[in-house]
Amino acid sequence: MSLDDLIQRADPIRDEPLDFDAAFDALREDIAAQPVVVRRRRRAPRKRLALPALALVAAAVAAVVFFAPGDHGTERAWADPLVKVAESVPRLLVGDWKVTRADQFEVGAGEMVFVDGSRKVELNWRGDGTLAGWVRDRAKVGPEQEPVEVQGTTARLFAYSEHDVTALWGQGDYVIEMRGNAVREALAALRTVSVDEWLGAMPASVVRPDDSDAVIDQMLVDINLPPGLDRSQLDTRGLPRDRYQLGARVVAAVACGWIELWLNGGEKERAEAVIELQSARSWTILKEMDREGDYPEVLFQYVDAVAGEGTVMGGKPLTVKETYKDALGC
Amino acid sequence: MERSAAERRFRALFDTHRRLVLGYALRRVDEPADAADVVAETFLIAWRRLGDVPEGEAARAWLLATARRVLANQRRGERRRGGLADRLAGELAAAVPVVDESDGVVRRALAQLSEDDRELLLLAGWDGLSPGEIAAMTGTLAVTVRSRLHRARRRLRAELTALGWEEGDPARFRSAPERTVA
Repeated sequence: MSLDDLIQRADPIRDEPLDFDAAFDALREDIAAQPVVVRRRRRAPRKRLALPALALVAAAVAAVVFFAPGDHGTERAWADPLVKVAESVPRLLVGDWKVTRADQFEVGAGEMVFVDGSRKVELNWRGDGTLAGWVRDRAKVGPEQEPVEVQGTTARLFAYSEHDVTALWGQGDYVIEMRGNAVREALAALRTVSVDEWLGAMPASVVRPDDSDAVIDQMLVDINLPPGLDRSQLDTRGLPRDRYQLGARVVAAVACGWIELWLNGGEKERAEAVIELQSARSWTILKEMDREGDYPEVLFQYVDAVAGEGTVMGGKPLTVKETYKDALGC
Repeated sequence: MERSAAERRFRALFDTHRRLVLGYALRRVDEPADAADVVAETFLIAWRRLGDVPEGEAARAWLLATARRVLANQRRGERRRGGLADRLAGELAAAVPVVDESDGVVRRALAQLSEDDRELLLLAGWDGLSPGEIAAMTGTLAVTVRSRLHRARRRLRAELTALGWEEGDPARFRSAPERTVA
């Protein structure tokens, strides 16, 4: 029994006893009958962002040109850590489907998203855990479907819903999982490729290691670093990162530094920190990230808090000091 | 969104995730009735901020992040018993869905970990969240979550080993200390 199985078995709560249908139904209707409080949006309406949005489109195009694998770099073009990952993990591509994301990219675990039109699957490789453990877990999500032969072995399939199926199989030391709305088609098109082809398939949004310094500098172009934060601390050490995730990492390092100054500095330092944090609303990278996720929204709550009474609103007030590290990923 | 459309969406959101939120809350409170408060408050916030709740599976992380904040407030001694949660609280108090005391050693090992490590392992192992969901919930990066999970598992393994756990199948303890642990 794996460690994960052991933890699961120690869970004091099972799903089955959580059926309180009548009480749940009553609660749901009571809440839906509550008046809706219109929350004032902190951000400007979308249409006022037309100009920056155009600029972002231009920046995105530039980025595609900048990072597009048009130079068909040879393996010499890849940084050593990157090659190490590629040499260790199963290098799988799905036909000529496009890799749109590669959020994580490590020897121990990784995930990539493949898209072809409306077809989309996420592929994970995991070096910890056993296939049996993952199968046991996924068997709980829904009915098992007909297995599929893949990569010389058999993949077990489980259906979250009619159009959301996950497949699991073992490959070398890894447990591979593919989940999405076209898993059978994707499995049929699965192929193992060379290091160069695999790394070359990484999307434009994945920062190329050779370019990571330039990308981080580009993100920092309208951002002032707080005292004590050295630019070199933001280095990606050669591993590719999704542009959103890289942005979050860079912004977290900067914002956390300014918040620490606000928490620990004198009057002058605190005032400086507030000004720098308030400037976050115009940081280009946050505007870009805002289209994809909620990180900017969370940060702006902390900007408002340091400029106000030091409490973050949402439910009941939380203090900046108690929560900023967790919320921002410091 | 028109109110009727909002109500439809809210009802679907509530019905899909109510057990997730209740399970999350029950695992983290001493009194089952407090979990009812967390569920009520979490979904009340979701109702009032429905436009902020992401569509699809991403709603899970949003809801649990909200429940987490509600729980943090509750833990500061500002309980808000009564009102919306009364009925659910009453039923939970009458039928505490806490079962299986056979894994006391694992819980004792978990208790030896830092709160951060323990919470990560529980979010993954008990609440069934993926690293990406935990990252979305806690406002950090998936890669950071994976790295912290890896370290937390290593520390738990060390604690379990100290308590007599032997890895492998069938997993058993060299002795049976779990019988003596509450």
